[in-house]
Amino acid sequence: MKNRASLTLMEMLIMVLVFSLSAAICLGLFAGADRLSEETVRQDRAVILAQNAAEALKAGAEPETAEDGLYLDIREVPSEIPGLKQAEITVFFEKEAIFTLETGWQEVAP
Amino acid sequence: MKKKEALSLPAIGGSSLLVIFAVLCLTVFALLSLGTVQAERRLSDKGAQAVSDYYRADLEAEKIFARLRSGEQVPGVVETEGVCRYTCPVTENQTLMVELEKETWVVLRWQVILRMEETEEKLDVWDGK
Repeated sequence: MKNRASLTLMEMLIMVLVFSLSAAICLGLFAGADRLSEETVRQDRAVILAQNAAEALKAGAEPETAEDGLYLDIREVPSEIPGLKQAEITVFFEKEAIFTLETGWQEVAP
Repeated sequence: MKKKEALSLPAIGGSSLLVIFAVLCLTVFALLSLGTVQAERRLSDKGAQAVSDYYRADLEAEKIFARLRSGEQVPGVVETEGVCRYTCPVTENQTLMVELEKETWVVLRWQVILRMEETEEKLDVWDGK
């Protein structure tokens, strides 16, 4: 009887250990999946923001430079071709560049 | 009569089965969620690459446009009936096709097309002969 009780107790202890180990690993996987999902959403938003900025520059409008934690850096690139304006659009999140786009448009005479 | 107390193997009880089931469920769901997120990440990367490719071709097309406007003869540009036509590759399968009216430099066409549309290959249909 005593033997059986100690075996049962040992079995329970091993089960608890196995469960906590697998739970720790699975929680790590869930956390990793959540982090990757956030990065993916951020990248998608950065691509859309950069695209909107490029189209605004082409249309001669003022582009939006920040949105929900993301901010744009628009740097004019000197063009060797007369009549062409070029810019490099970089989207940052917490000082890290997520997406870069180069665009050009025709210079319209005033 | 002595009862021989044989050491029987510890039988897996109900609680152990429950724990094994819970561990299996946790593992399967964790792997599924990780797999889903990785697939979403690959799709997002492909989308970003597609946008980069388009704007690279767009920039190339704008450069050729600017050079044409400044009076330069650009190789690869075909002029017919006052319309300048040229293409810039976007990806292996896509091309940016541009048509410009030479007099006014109005953009008549600025369109991404599939490469096979550009070549307009026609397959001969058997007519029974």
